[in-house]
Amino acid sequence: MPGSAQDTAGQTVMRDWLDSLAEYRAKGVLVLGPDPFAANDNREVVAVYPPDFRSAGRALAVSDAYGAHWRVNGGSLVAFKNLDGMGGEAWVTDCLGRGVLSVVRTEIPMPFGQGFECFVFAARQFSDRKEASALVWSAMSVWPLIKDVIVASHFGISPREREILVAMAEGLTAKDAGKRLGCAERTVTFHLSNLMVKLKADNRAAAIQRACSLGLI
Amino acid sequence: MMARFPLVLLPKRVVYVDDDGWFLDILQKTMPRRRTREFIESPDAALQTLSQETAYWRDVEALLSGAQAARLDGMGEAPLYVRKYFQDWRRFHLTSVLIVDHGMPSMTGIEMLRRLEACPARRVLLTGMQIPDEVIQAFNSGLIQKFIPKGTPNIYKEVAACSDEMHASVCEHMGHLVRSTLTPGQIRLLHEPGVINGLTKKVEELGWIEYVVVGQPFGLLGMSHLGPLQWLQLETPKSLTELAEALADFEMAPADLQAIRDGTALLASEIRAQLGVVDNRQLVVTDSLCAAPELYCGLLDLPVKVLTARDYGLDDIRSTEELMRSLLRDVQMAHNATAASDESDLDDSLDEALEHFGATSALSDFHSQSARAVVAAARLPAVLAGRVDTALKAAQRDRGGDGHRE
Repeated sequence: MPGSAQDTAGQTVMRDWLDSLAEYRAKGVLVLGPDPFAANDNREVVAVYPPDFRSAGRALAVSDAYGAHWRVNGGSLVAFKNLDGMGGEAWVTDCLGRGVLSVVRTEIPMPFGQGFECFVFAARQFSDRKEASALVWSAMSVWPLIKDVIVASHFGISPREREILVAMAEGLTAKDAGKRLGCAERTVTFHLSNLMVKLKADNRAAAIQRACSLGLI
Repeated sequence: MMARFPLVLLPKRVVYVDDDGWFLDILQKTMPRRRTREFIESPDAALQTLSQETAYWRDVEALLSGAQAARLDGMGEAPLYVRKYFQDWRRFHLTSVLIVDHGMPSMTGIEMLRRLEACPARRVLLTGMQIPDEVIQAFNSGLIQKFIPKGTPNIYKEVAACSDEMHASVCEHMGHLVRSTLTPGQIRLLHEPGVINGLTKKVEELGWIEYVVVGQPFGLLGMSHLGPLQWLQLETPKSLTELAEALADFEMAPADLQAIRDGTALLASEIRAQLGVVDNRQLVVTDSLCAAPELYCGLLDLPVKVLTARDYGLDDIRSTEELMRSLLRDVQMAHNATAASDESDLDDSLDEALEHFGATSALSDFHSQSARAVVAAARLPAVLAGRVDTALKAAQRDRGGDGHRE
């Protein structure tokens, strides 16, 4: 996947995020996002910290324990599960082995019916949704910053490319975007070609749509 | 000299229609090889083939006309050309020059051509020495672009020359379809005599049988009949500065960026990004294509899937055996001509044909085996067989002891 090895910026942000949740005894954080290049409702790991939670993240991405059906059925934005006694799935055993006692999930809706899902792995149990919501409230206060960094680094989008996406989304031509950003049209076009490869889009409109639905802009 | 560099070069395809097999046979041997040509002996068969092709012309025209839309879409025209043009077999079925005998018994050449008016091919009529009025009328009305009496001295040379010219004019016409993908500045460049000259030489040097000029990035996508698809990137001093600027957002060594600004190297990152080819960031050494105006070019092979003329089976000479057989036929014809006359310059032409046959046979073991096989099958008269044998042995001797055993 793009950015899985080199996204140090993403790792730093995720570590800070986890640290900020110390009072809730958080042991790991995970962000799932829609897999834009797969069939509907497929999710993939956008960011995870620490990295040894990745396999749990992958399992959750394909698991029905939480997921799209839950969103569609009008559930709450916050959900939690105490892992004790859940048994069965490998990721649960794995988490219990790391001292994780519960998982809290929340969702951040995006355009086109998509959403990000954030999971916090905590070394404590929750007795009701109110407690879980307090954790989510705390976690979400820094979400906008986190989202920008992890999404861009997940797709390998540079700040410059993001500026160009924004200009395109505003309806500027490559020439005008160049004027605004103080570069030649050729630079804009080159960045756009690269963006289309990264976003696996065949045309400019699809690239912008994808950037929106992925929360890149 | 061309007034502008054609924006498109289609694979050349010439169709000859003549019910006189003997004449076609000679044409077949005289016309340049490695170009697609077809010899059709009946006007009905020709009509069928060519009407089918008219549909292909329309398809290719529609495709080239879509280049501007692909550009506005952000995809760029290059991926369109690669996926829809260079992979499409129909482009090998675009007859650009049609050479038709007028005096065919079942249908005159003019009758036939009248039924092919929708076909964009340029049309040449071969006539007798007496030019009928209807031929003049056909010429004046634009149905035919040229007529050549069959008795014209050096007729083959003339046919070859005019078919080259006509092919170029058809390509130029098709080139207008992609004109909108170029900036006025790029169009102006392609009108410069120095640039036309440089590009024409380059295309010849690369052995390209087809190309399309691309606007963004500026350059030519083209290939020989063997492939691979190649990219000839064109840069002016100004565009090189812009290229260096575009690349400066990436981690590039300052020395590399300077080389790009100086016109000694370039990066083909843009075409690679458009075509989804991994960018190895390898600098391509540039050549000066033209000194005034200053234009540089850099060439690279593109690892993309294309359909080459050879893969499509369009090489006229498919095997060494066919090649040797056609050369042996030259020898036999020269021999027959010599036997029928006392002129000594005809003997020279026999010597020449023999030497050519011998030299070609010495190209490889395949060639020499094929040569022996076609000689054995030809049942030559004893006198000629002796001379052919001598020529083959002489050529083998000249080839020397590089691994070949008699």
